[in-house]
Amino acid sequence: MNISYLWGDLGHLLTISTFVSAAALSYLSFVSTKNSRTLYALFSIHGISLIGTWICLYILLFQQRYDYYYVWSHMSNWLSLPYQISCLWEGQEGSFMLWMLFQAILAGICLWKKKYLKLRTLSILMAIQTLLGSMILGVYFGDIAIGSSPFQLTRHMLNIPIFQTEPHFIPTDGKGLNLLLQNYWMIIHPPVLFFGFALTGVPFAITLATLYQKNFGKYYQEFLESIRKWTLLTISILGIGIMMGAYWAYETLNFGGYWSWDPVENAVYIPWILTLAQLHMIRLSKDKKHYLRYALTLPILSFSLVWYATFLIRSGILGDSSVHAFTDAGLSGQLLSALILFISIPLLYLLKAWKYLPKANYTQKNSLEMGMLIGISLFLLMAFQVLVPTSIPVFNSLIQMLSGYSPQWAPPIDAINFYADFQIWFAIGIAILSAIVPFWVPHLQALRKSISWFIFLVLGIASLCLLVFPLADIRHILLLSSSLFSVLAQISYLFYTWKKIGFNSSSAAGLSHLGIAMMLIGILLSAQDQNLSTNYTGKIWNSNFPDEINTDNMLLFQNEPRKMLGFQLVYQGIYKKTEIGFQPAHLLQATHNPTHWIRLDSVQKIPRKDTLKIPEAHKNYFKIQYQRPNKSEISLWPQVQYQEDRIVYSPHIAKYWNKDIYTHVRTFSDPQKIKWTPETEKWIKPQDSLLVKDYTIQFQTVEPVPPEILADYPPNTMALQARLLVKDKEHSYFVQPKIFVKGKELGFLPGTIPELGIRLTLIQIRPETEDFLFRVERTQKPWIIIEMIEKPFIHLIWIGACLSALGMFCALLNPSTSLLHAKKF
Amino acid sequence: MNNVRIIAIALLGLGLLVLISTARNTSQYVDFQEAQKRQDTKGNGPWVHLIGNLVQNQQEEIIGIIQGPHETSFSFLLKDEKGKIERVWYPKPMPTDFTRAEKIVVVGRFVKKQFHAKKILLKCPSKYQAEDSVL
Repeated sequence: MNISYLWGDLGHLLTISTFVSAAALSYLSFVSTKNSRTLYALFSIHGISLIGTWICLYILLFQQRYDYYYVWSHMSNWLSLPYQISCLWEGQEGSFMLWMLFQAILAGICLWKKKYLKLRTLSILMAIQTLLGSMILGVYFGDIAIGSSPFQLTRHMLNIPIFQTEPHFIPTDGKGLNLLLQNYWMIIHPPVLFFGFALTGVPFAITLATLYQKNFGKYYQEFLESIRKWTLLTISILGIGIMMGAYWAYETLNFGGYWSWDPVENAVYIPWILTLAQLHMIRLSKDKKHYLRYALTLPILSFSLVWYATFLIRSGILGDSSVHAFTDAGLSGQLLSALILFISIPLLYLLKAWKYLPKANYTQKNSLEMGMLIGISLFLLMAFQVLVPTSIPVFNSLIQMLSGYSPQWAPPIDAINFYADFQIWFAIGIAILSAIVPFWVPHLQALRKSISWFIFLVLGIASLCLLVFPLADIRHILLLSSSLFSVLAQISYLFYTWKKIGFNSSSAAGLSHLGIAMMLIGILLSAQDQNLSTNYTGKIWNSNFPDEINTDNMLLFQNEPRKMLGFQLVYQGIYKKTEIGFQPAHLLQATHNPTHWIRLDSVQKIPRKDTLKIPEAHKNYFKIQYQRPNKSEISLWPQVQYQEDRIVYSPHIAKYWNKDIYTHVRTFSDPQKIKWTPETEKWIKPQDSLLVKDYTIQFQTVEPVPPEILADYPPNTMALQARLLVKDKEHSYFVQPKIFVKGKELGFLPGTIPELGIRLTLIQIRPETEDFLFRVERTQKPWIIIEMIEKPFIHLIWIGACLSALGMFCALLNPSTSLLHAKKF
Repeated sequence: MNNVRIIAIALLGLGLLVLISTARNTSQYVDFQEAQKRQDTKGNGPWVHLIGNLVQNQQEEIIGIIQGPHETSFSFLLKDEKGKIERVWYPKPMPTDFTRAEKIVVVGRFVKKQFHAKKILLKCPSKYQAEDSVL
């Protein structure tokens, strides 16, 4: 067998070259004092090697080389192009490569554009890059592996017998991309998130480079301006990445929300909150020099927490407590060393510099400063409160390492309420502070006089809101009023600043705070969700269910309208999304190509000539007609995907200006698992009718089976088909059961009406009297159990997130202005 | 300075509060024997985390899964790390990949001597894959 390992071997070689050039560049930029051509040349080698690694991996994926483990694990035949690309970063190794790609871009920007402490910053960025590169190195020293390469062969990774008998065996298909990840958000969310991760490295590198300088005072303002811009970018990109993940979870996962306080989510939330603290601390130190020491501490803290997150997610330590953590790929030791390195070295430098950093001269603090300090403290607490429970698995391991006995602590049972109970108080504090503190910004002093009007107005609006949303919990009322206060305050700042000086960085801050306040309102109101699928029938769907599932879910039988409170639902069967729109699944016939399907005629069930393209045929949609009085009818399309024995449900979200209606299927009658029970057997003549329970069967004629259908059967087969019309109250259905005779052998092809749950088989003929024996079998009508939830004002979360990111971008374009108008030192 | 000192003390105090509340809300990984020991006389126990795997027969087929009506709920046999087997009731449809899980964490409690799970976490094999699905 002639297999080329060229691309794999080249890729592996290029990963090594990426690693070596990163290390060399880091060293060289550390020792050199001015720009040299060697630096640019080394960087080019690094960049080309990294891009080359990507190209090699992509070629292997594109060629479906399942003899490579990474390709086999993530790729499959027939995966569409966008998802092929997202395969590149689905795995552990690929996601490190993504991080490295962004890190390299940032290092490049630093090399070409940066002025402030360029070489040192570059050196530290490349040191981070070297450590990242070591994670995908895949080099062995004896038994010790450094990194896990994406270019490993399947036969080296899988310990299965076939490779012993047939060493060159290549699997014919890959495991494919996880069904849940086959979503457009998953193409864009990981790159944005890893860009955010890479960005946290820049303020860290600038900080470390600054700490390394002996005469630090000289660089003070330059340092703050430089780090401020990168921090702003970090917050917005990381925040957008997190929100994309939240939106994906809302749209794809079936748990009915967008955030579940899973350890993996927490691990990213913590550094993001810390970057917020960092930004505000930078802002404070711009005016008061003695805050500088904290402004130098926070970037180190948030960066090391990014690595802590990486360690938690990828070392397998979260194993028992998180649904979507990676399992250990043998990198835990390496990740732990990187983490220790990233905490200890900067800490050492910080301690060394600490005594030289400016001290407070105990002047009177003004209110603005106090407010910001309290705000920063709240951010720290917010992060700390999430950090402690998320680290429980780490505590277990640590205590076991030290004492040999594991305490077996587990995360809180009800994570959502546990975290929310704390975080809501922080959110209230943040909302109040972000509303009040800017009143003390000098140029907004005139506004301060009208603060009592604001409070009146807020209380008025809040009471009106309470009429619509009867909030009972005092914390909810507080959060609503404080966020409303913040919204009003921000809007008036924006106007006032606009009138006085136009748009500057404090208006940008106002915009971001407005976004955050809107998000808080959205979070609060959407949590006041209302169940629309309340079971008023008095029936119990399943006695094993806890009460809330029996009362909150609705059972719908196909084509049976069900009146709900204020609207009506009809379930109309399973559909697939084709190039010409939704088509009933039972009228579609698969071909050998999973994206090409044949449309059957709805009456005759004979293939039409045309084939239809179905890009994602494993996705099935339940069609539910949703009808409100005096409103036009709409269709809801909750989803189920199945591949082999995996079943994944996703909701349908109907969007209105003031709410989302979230519909998801809990379970359905699987057409592949139907059990038929005989109902009756009757002899009838053509033109006769038969009444069975709630429908009539009209026997029209008997005719020979058309030769094109018979062509598939052995020669000399005789076949007849009956034409039957089955009517229930509203619809009529047409079926053609067939009977085949060859010698003494009989064959039957029943006619099925899935909508009615009946099946008719022609089982015997008496030619002399023209009597035909039909067997009628019944099964349960197709059904689904759904839950419908109305989530008021959930868009405010997404709009608010976009607004606050917009504010950050505006701030990036505006140099920061002094808040205090205090004299600079 | 006084103000800053107040903030610092408040920060420490609230930090301590966070630690205490975490400690109070922390659950524990236990085995069935321990969970049963904590039951009261009616057979109701506290919420716990429990790690185990599915029970297989000699042909490595999973045994003991019982589907509820409409497959909207199910129960299964869980063997804890000490080898004790108990039936676990779960009020939701069987999760995707359930039968492939090499390790299962259930969050639940004993109610009238029956173990009811409210959450199931699955650890699916990523390195190891059964032979039949390769081919």
